[in-house]
This record gives sequence, C-alpha cells and structure tokens, in this order.
Amino acid sequence: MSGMQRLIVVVAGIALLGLFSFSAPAMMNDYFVRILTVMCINAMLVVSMGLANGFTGVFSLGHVGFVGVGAYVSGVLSLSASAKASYLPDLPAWIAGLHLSFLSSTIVAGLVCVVLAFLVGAPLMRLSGHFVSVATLGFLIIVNVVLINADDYTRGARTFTGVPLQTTFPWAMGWLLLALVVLARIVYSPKGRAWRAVREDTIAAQAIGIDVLPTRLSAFVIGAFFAGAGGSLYGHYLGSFSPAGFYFAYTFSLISMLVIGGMQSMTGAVVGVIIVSILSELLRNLERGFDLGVVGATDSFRCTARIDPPAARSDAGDVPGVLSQCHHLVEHAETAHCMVRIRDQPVAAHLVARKGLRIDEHHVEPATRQGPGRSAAGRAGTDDEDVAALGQIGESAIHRARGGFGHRPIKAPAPPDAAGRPSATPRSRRRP
Amino acid sequence: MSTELYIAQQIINAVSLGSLYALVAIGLSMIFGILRMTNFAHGDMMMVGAFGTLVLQFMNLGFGWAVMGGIGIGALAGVLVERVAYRPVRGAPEVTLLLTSLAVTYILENLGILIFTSSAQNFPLPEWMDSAFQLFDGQITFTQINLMTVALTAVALGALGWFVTRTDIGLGMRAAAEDMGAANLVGLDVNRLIVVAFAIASGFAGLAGILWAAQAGVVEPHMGFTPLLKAFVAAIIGGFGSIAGALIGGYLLGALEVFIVAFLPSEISPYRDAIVFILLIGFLLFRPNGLLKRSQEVKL
Repeated sequence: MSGMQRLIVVVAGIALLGLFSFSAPAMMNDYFVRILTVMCINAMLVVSMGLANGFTGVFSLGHVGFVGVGAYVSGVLSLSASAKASYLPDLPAWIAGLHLSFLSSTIVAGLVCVVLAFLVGAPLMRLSGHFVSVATLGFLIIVNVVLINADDYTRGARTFTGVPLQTTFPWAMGWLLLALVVLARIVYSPKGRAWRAVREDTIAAQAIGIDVLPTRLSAFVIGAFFAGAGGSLYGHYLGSFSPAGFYFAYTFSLISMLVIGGMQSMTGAVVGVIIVSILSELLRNLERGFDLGVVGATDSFRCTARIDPPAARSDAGDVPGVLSQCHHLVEHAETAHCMVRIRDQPVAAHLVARKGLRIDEHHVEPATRQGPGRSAAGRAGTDDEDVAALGQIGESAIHRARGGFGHRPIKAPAPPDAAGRPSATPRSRRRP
Repeated sequence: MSTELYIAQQIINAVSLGSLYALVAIGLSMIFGILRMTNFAHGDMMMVGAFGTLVLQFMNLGFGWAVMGGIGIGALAGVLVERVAYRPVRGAPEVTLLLTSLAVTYILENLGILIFTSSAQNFPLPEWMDSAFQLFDGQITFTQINLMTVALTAVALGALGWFVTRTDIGLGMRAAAEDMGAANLVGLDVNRLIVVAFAIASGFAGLAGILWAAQAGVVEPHMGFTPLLKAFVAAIIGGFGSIAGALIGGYLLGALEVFIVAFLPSEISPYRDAIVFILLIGFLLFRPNGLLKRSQEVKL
C-alpha cells in the first residue's frame, strides 16, 4: 500500500518539524509553531476537500461554507456565558446557557456540518461536471448571506470575537492525524475504490452495480465533518473572524493547495499545503523589502484601509468599537508604516489629535456619488468590508512586528476601549 | 406616492439592472456554448474594461472614445486570456478548464490590485451624463446612465443578433456551439471562431463593466465578481449556452432582484442573494436546460 506509506512519511515529517520547532529560540519558535498550526488546519481542510473534489470527481466550491459554519457554530458554543451576554445578547436562552469545551464544540461543529451536508448534498450530488461546481458555489454564497444576516447568532458582518484561543499545535496536529487516519482507512477501502470508480466513469460504475448518489453523498458528508471540525480549529486559532474570511479568497487558496499537491492523492494534498504555506511565507518576507534595481520596494510596504463615516454604519452603537480599532490601527501604523486612508474628517482629526500621534498621509475623500442605481446594483455592505480590512491590517502589522525577521518591536497592544471590551484586532492573529 | 408609479419606478430599475446582467450573461453563455467551459474570468473583463476607460480618460481622451477604447481593451484581454490560458488546456476535463479560469480570475484581480490598489477609484463622468430625469413630481426618477444602459444594451444586442444570423462567422459560431467536431470537419476554422467569440463576449463584459462603474460611481479590482455570479444564475435560468436564454434570464433576474428588495418585507430582503442562488439550485435540479433550451440526450 504505497499510498499509505507515502502519507505516513509526510505526516511524520510534519510531526518531527513540530517537535523540532519547540527547541528553536523563543521568537522563532513562536513564529514557526504558528505556521505549523495553520498548516495542520489547512491540511485537514484540503484533505477533506479532496475527498469529494479529487476522489469522487464532484468538484465542490462550497467546502469553505462548511468551514465557516463550523467556525461559527463552535464559536457560539464555546464562548463563555458572560461573553455571550455582552456580544450576543439576542441569543435564544437555550444556547446562551450552553458552554461547551473546545473538544466537544469542535465535534458538535463537525456534526452540524454533517447534517447540513446531507441536506444540501442529497439534491446537489445528482448534478455533475461544472453544474455541481456552480451549485456548490451557490451554497457558499447562501452560507455567507445567512452568516451576515443572522445577527443574533453571528454579530452579522461585524467581527465575531472573544472565541477562546485554544487551538495549539498539538491540538491541530492531533486533529490532522485523526482526519488522515480515518480518511486513509476509507480511501484505501472498497468504499474508496467505489468513489474513484464513480470519478473515472460514472456509467461504467453504475454498470457494475455502484449506486452513484450515495457514493458521492458519502464523500461529500464525510468531507463536511472534517471541514466543520477544521473550521472550529481555525476559529479557535484566530479568536476573532468575520463572514468575509470564509468566502472566495479562502476557497481559492484551499483549491490552489489541493491542485498544486495533486487532487487525487492524500499525500499530494498534504504536500500541496506545505508547499503553498512555505511559498507564501517566503514571499511575505520578500514583500517586506527588496530591491530589484528597477523595481524596488522598501520596508514601508504600504497598506491602505478605508474608514467610512461612522454615522453611515447601520449600527450606530458600534462607533466606539470602530474608533478603538482606528486607534489600534494607527498605533501599529506608526511602527509598520501603514498608510491609513480615512474618509471622514472628524475621525481623522480625532486621530491626529490623539496623544500627538503623527499620521504622515491622510486623505480625506469625498463620499462616493450615490446614484439611484447604486443600491439596485448590489453594492451594499462596503462599510463591513472596511472593518474587515482594518482587522487585516492590524493583523499584518502585528505579524510583521512579532514574527517577522529583524523588525522593530511593537508597543504594548491597544488597551480595551471605553466599554471595557477588548478591541478585536490585538487578539486576532495573522491569517494563513 | 401612488402604487402604480412606485411599480413603474421599480420596473425602470429592473430593466436597467437586467440589461447589465444580460450583457454579462450573454458572453458567459456564448463561451459555454462553444467551449463547454464555465469562464470565471469573464467577470474580470468588466473590471478590465472599466479600468481601461478610466485610464483612457486620464489620458484626456473624450468620454465616448474612452468608452469605446475600454470595450476594445476588454475584448483584447479576453482574446489574450483565451490564447495564453485556455487554448493550451482545450479539450481537457471540465474541471481543468474551470480551475484554469479561476486561476485567471485570481491573477487578473491581483494584477488590478497591484496597479490600482484595492481601494475603489472614482469613475469620472462627463457633466451631461450625470443628470437625472424626474417625472410626476419626482415620483419617478431615472438617470442619464439608466437610459444609456438600456440604449447601449439594445444596440449591442441588435448588433449581436445581426452578427450571429447574417454573417458567416456568426453562423459558424452557432455551428461550433452545436457540435465543435462537426464544425471542424466541414472546414470551419474553429480557432478563429473561438477568438471571435471571446472578443465579442469580453467586449460585452467590458461594456457592462463601464456601465456598472458609471452607475456605482467607482471602479475596483473586485467589481466583476458579484455580477459574474449573478450572470451565472441568469445564464442558467435561460439555458446555459443559449444567447436568447441568457438575455431573458438576465432581465428576469434583474426584475426578481429589484422586486425582492422593493416589495418583500425588510426582514427578508437582505436575503436577496440567498433567494437568487436557491433559485439557481432549483433550476439546476429541476430544469437544468433552463427555460429556453430543449433537453439534450447525453452522448456516450
């Protein structure tokens, strides 16, 4: 069983790397362990994605939908009761009283995704070719719309925060191992051969007595369990996330990992994750400063964020939160030379006045023209995207200062805002 | 405000939005018809067209010339993408084509971010296009851009209709959509037909992108993605691969979206996109050939 053996070698390699990284110097150690943790989570997601996409030939673009559902379900379940009371006051009583451990909330997240995958897959797995891709893409969009609009459970498009940071490297590695063992047992069994038979030739498979729908559905549902569990791990790794994080960008990056490694092999999926993760880390460091003679980028790789007038936000109560994010952002912007683009004069003035913070560039832009067709053309929700963008810049600034090579140390993280709530950005870490 | 006027206003909005969807969906459907590929990069031709117009305007070209140049740049980008990315994998399994187009999307959008940054750029319009018309004491409002959208779509569709029914290349394209192998056998230059199809489809997308940018007032690298997804729905409602189907699907979808927002209670209307995609899934399951296309037997 050479497939199995290759898989064992690759996984042993990651585990060794993990062990090795614990002996590295403290700062490097922190950096490597974080990369390895994300790598393990992504490997679990990519391998489970490969189940339907690679082995069964049903190219689903909806896998990240399950990841998002998993992250939110486990996030809601593992928030402490007091955090729930302050973040999600409108939760139904029976959920508000629930407080599960990390492990059990992860399992529940996986099971919820199993049920969801069964309901969604039962009709969708009848489709084939690109139609299944387009339909599962529809599923991804539906999940995103529901996450954004189910305010009571998810805080809508705003950052869902306060999830305990419990995904350590051993947890992620353990879940990856479990996923690989379970999936390898299935893939290299008669069931797995049925999957591949359906992929290679649906009609021939039917002719030898393989029922196509249950075969495809089983791959989809099993994949969804590990997607949900992986989503929970990811959520507990990030600590704060928003629906925008579980959308096309993440789908693309998982797909590229799957394709680069080879869609029809579990070893390939893991190797693909390793290659893409290492490449993106290397490129990230390159991005920080290099000179090609003709094109040069300096240390001050510029980021932009837009801050729309707070008054335009649907939820006026969130203004202090946005302001505290601004403060935080600018604090990091000073160390990381971000360019901050602020659209609102009062906010800009407020930021400049604060503690003599110096903002080198601030553009005050006029509000964009509001034609009557604008809302009909479906361009709502830009303010939410801006908040997400803010979060990312904060994250990358933290990352650069903490994990990067040879960067100036960062100041103390931003203090909690007036409401006594920790601001979202310092808790969150770099996205993979 | 009287109900009739309110409905009339919504119909104006629906036609304006539906025109954009139809423009994008037709291109998507044409490419699918000939190559059997779902071209995710199609939406990015909107972005390319809009940015092309923006750049040409900065080069002090008149607005009309800039728009035409933008359409041309969109068409050129489509042809280029076909030549560089799609032709080498032509004939590969469906999923390979789909993945290639996803990769092209990713590359084009990141190229857009690299050149124009990820924040939205203002899309300048000449004075005369910025005006709005008001009828019945302002109960019905529409802008010059709404009018232009509908008019330009009608012109483009008329030209396309003439092209695919009256010219050799157009007829050849339809033949290739019917059966590419047979078209090749009877001596049609399939490569040339595909290039023309991509040029037309991408030019339409470029026009749609310019109109979209004019309505929204801004251009940004990710602007093509949402309309692309909607165009998928429109094309599938009408029958994926059929030009007339895409046209009808586009207008139906535009009407549906506008009416969901206009007439359903505010608890439901935020779920507009979810409703639209549930409709998509419903069509795929129960009427996979859409409203117009006759069902085809599966070839073994």
